[in-house]
Amino acid sequence: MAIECLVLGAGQEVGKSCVVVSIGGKRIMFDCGMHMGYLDGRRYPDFSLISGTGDFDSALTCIVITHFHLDHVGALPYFTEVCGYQGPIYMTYPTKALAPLMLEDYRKVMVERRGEEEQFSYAHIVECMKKVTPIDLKQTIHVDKDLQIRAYYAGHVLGAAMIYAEVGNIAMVYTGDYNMTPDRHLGAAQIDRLHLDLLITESTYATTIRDSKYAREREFLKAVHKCVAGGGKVLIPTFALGRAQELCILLDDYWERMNLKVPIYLSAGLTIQANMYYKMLIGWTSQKIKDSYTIRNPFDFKHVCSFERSLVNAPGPCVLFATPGMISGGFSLEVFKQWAPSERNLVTLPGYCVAGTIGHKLMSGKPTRIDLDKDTHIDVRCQIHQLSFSPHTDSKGIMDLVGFLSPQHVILVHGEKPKMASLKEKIQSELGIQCYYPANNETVFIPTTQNVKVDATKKFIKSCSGGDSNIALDNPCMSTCSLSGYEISELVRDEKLAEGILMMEKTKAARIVCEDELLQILGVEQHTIQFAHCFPVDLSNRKQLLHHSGGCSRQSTEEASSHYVVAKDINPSTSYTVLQLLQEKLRNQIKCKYILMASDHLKIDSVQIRVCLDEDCPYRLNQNRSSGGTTIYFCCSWSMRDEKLAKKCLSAIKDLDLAVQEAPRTE
Amino acid sequence: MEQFLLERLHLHLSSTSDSSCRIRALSTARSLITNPSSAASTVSSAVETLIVSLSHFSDDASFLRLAISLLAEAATIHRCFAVSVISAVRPFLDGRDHLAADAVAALASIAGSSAEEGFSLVESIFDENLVISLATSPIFAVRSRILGLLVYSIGRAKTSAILGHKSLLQVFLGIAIDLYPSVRRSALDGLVALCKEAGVDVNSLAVECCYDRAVEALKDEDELVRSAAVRLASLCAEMFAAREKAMDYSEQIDMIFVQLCSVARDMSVKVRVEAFNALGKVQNVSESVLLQSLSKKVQGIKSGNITLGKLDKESKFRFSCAAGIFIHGIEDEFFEVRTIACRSLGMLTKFSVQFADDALNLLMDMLNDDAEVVRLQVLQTLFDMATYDRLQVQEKHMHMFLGLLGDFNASIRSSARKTLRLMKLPKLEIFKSAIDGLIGNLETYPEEEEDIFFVLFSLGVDHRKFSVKLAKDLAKQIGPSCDGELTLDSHKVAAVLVLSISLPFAGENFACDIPPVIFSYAIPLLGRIAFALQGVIDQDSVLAHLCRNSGMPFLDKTLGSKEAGQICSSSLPVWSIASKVSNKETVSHMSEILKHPEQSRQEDEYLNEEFMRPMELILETVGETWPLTKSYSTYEVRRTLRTCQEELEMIAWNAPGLVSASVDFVSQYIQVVQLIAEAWEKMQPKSSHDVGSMTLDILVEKLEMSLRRMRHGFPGLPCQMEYHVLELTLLANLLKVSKAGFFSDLGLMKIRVIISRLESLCAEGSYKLSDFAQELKGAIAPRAKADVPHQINVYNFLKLFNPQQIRLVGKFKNIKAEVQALDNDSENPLIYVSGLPVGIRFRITLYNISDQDRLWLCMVVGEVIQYVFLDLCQFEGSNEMRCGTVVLPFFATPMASSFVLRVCLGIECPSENVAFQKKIQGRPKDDIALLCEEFNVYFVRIGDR
Repeated sequence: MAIECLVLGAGQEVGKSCVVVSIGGKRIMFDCGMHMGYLDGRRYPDFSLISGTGDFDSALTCIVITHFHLDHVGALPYFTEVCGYQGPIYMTYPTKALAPLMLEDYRKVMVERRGEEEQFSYAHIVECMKKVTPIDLKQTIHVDKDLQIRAYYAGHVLGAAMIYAEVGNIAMVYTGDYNMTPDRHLGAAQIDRLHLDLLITESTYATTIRDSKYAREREFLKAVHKCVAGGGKVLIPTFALGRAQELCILLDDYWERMNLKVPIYLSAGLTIQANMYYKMLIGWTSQKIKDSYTIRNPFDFKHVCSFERSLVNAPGPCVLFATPGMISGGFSLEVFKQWAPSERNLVTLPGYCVAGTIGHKLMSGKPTRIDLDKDTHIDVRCQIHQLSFSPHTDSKGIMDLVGFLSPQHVILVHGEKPKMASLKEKIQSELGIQCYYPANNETVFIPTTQNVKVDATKKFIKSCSGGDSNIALDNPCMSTCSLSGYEISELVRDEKLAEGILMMEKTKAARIVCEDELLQILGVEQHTIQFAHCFPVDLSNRKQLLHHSGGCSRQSTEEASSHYVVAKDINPSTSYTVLQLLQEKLRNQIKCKYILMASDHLKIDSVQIRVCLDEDCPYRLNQNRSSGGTTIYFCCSWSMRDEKLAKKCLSAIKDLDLAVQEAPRTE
Repeated sequence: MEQFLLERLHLHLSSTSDSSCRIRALSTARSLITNPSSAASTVSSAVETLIVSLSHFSDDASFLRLAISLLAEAATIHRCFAVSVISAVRPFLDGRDHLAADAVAALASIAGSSAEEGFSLVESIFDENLVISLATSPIFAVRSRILGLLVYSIGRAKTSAILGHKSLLQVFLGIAIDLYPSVRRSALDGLVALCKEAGVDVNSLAVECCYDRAVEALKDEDELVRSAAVRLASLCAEMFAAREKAMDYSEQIDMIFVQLCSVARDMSVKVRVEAFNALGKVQNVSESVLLQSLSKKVQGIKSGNITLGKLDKESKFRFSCAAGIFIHGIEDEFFEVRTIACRSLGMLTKFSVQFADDALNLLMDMLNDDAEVVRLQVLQTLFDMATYDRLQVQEKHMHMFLGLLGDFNASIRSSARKTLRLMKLPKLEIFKSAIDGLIGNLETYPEEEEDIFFVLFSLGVDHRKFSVKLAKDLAKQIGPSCDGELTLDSHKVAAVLVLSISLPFAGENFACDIPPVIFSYAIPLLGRIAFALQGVIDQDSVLAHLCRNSGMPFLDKTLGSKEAGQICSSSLPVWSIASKVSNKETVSHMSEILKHPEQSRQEDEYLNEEFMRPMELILETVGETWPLTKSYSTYEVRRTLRTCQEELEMIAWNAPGLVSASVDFVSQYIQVVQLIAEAWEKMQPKSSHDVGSMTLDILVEKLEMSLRRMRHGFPGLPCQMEYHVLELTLLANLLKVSKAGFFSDLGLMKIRVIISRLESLCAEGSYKLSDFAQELKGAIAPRAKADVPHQINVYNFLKLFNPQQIRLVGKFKNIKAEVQALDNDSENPLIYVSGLPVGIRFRITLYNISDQDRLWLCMVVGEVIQYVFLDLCQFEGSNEMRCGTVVLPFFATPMASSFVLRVCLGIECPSENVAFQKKIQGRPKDDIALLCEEFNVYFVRIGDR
């Protein structure tokens, strides 16, 4: 099975995020955004790539929207109402609440201001939103039998989510836009440690590493404070949602602490409306807001005063938030015209301004004069402060998230191509994770490892969980008193092993059983393989041996020369002596202390050695050996697992000749 | 009932009973055992029956489980059963089933419940094999419980733990990779406890094993396991650092630091807090790693740096885990993490100057944090850094920092000033901005002037050159061009003046740089400055210093010829103490915190100057009234005394507790002198006293009362003062008999007692009895004819009376009481029924009452006097202060629609009437001295309301 990932938007660019992922027959569309830079067909993702016939309902299992920004949700009404997609759509509660606001605002601007042809109407938006199923954070949604999705907190904007999707045992995460550092009103992205095959992450700041946010806040507050202390007016052009609230909290807090009395105004209706949503959706904000909510709603700003247009020219210092953010028109432009000529005033600019807007002009070198149109000119003498607040994570944050999740593969979207290339290198070299950054309309195939689910019997699980293998105190080879640090570390570093047998029966699911269970299940008896070997050993000086064995060997005859006779000669007491000698020898050679000595045999684990008196021993090698000494047959048997040990023993026994010679000397 | 239950228990546990019966029996047994009023024999019988039943029904697991837990409960309630219960439970430990878990739990509860004995009993049944077989049990509950018991055992019994350290270590290490998170966590906690317990005894390989386990567990799925792992890793780092001398572990420590850094980005808040906490504790981290933790960019290998130089690319990559970890920490969403990160940051600054500088940039930015607790922590960290001398501030930091001087929150402002006081400001501009910040603070919050002056003064001492510069600027402003515009009320001027005058204290040679005019301008601010510097330099020294430097002639009558130089040298050690004491507020109470002899001397001096001396003056003035009294110019006397009283009230108003006894004494004294003067006037031969003034009797009565108070209300009164009081008492006795002209037996007795006391005092102090006393002694000497009353001419004696000036010497306490009737005033009278007793709730606070003192509450209405004895047991507290609320009855409620009860509290004066004692029940044996002002309690008859 493989994951097929079709990038319809935001591939090697920023704008119209849209990725269609096919996993195990399920097709999920993540985000359905529009590109704000284009007015032609490139504005929307190329939906025809999903289904040539236009039957999107069967082609897609569901759509998931991560947050309400237009480059993530902008094309949704068009897709549902115009293209006719009727399937399920998921987004978080705040996104569902705020997306229509954004869409409607955009539609109005497009249609009413620019007089463009309407792509979708207000009714479309309403209809579209009716199809949306709202979801909550960490709530697992069973889209159908096989597909599960779950949303995780992403920071970025109110209600932004990262989406986890799972089909069978294949899992992936689509991050949408996210922020790994909290700001004044939103928390940092939060996700569980998941086992992922694929991570699709944004990479807006693929190479930027941002320093502490405190420095940015300090600069901003310093500039604003300085301006109002000097009696100037501060214009803060912002978009209605997100940045406005953050800056407002920042200022409100600062005002409170520094005991400033300068009024702060919020201009647009949308900002006030947005504040209302923020107040309702406290649960989606940062910990600080949630904590202080019990005392008072932080979005009920203490120092924010109600605003009237006449206040624009009122004397004295003030701070004004006005939309739109890039001074591209509307109220912020109107105020800018009035305030720009005074050098006491201050205008703050957002981090990013689209080319062609006044914001952009102000950013690129400080102009002294801006020509609005043929007749209108603005003398710009005011101070300019550029904000560098951003709700996107920086490169370090991306690396942190990728490192934390450690997926099998990473796909980068929503970024600029050269930067993505450098980030890709970084991910591959530092984290060793395969990484891709496809262009729009490209498809990436991600191989997945096939996992097979197996059952396990209770007994097997018990044997795993018992933990016997961890603590080796009862291991006979290791006495407690001699336990040195080295041995502890040896014991502890052992990987934990559980032994079992994988059974795959035709009709049933595979399962792991314990060794002894298997026989029971199969209904057969246990066979054990036992190796045996009976071989002669020449003892060159039998006399000594017999002497050594003492007077017990009365029957022994010295004339005996053939091995047959010898076999008869050796009585149990002699064999005992031989075994004793052997034991000593083995102890020296194999270095095993635990040799069991029985009356007629030696035992080392499963290796059993005895002196064979049976002439018809089935394991006996029938080879005639004639030598001056005496020949004794040793019969050894062992089971398979001790084969190595047995070999060692055998070779030791075969050299026993020497041992007997040496033995008296040592006495 | 008990017997019945016991019988039923036996019946239900008989061999024939079924399982439900047995369960019921358990509940019966439980009620018998837990009921505190059960007889001991019943309980023991029940326990025995249960123990027997354990072996009886060995096949009924559900019964056994409950029975075991019940037995454990019994053993914890009644310790005597511990032995038998433990031995009964012991066999179950060998089983491989769930009963073993219950048995372990039972043992654990016994071990935990009672003191050492229970633990050692439990301990005795465990041996190594048993513990290991339990620890490897396939049943989770058994493992987790035995682990709990083992962890509990560490450190409990120092001499004999259940297992030896080594075996314990093995068990913990083994279980640390258990399948269950909670078991893993306990095992890690166990390792931490074990390592802490063993301390340096742990061998280094064992530490490495622990460390390996910890590193493994850092990646655990369970957050609590990860936290425990962080703690263990941190401990390992500590142990490595402790061994640093023997072996080079610096690389190892760096590695741990980096590993902790990687956990510091964990998704769980708990783990992050734990990780940052651990980071702060790591010792001797190499500078390169530290610097990396402040920068999100992965730093290259620095040339010449040996540590990083030999690291290969892989380890460089590993070090990247540490990249900017503190930036993440201080930006964290949770203030807990931010606070800890900030604290750890401060702790690590000890190791590297470069790191301290970089960290300071972050810390200064953090001053803008939204959580107050974080800002306070930042200030604390800055303060700590300043004390290690790691605080190198730069100009860019100052805006944010000085902004805090205008913070809304007083504690933030105070902390900011505390830190500022210790800062070394490198540039004049920074210094100026700091001074401006303080001036701004002073303007917005003038109530903090004291502290701000103190900080200014400290800054001046530490930054002499800059202060000289500012002082010169100020002098120019003051100079001829200024046409009286300069007002000293301006905060700015006051601040710079304080700054300037601090200089000579820093060293002689700077004094000459300051224009003298500055010092003369500072003189009007003397009070405020001296108040700010109290505890460091006393007011007179400041004045002397100011006068000397301004070139003014200075008549120093109080200090003699104390040179400013001496002041400096004497105050400098104090100064160094003062800078260590965290806050200005504490400086004034420093004698309590720091028992520094120098300091307490200073404190005494301060008290002396501020309070004792004025009181001496008052006493002097009072003493000067005697001639007036004798010449009957009572009007003059009255006026003088009234002024004295007023003056005393002024002093008393802000007098600290230490001098309150003296204040009380002086006040009483003034009252006595006044009464004597009044009485004296009555004695005037051709008196023309005003109508309506008090009769002599009443006056004398009052006088006696006051004198009693002076004699008995001030334990530890020095000899001279007691002598003076006794003389006055003699005089009072004389005045009493002035009409009759002779003494009664009782009066004689009293006088004799007093005179003998006077004599003994004279012997002690080796001075002469005064003429007055001498004469009186002769006059009342026993005569041959006892029945002739002692007739004396009072007037002659009065002429002789010529008291010495009384002086406040030594230390003494004063007994006093505060009594208050609760819920009562004239608007809210208490309700009573005529003829029936009524209870009154009093709130009483007693000072310096000892256990031997007998206190009486005296309640008076009309002619009726009722005494109520106060039992000191009813009060809480020590001899210094006791307080309590008591309900006391008043019996003789009159037949009136309302009445006012006058209440006061008195102490029995033990030696007043030696021979003659009124033997009346329910009233004091001796005279009483009042300890508080008389006050009223209002009553209204029920129905008349």
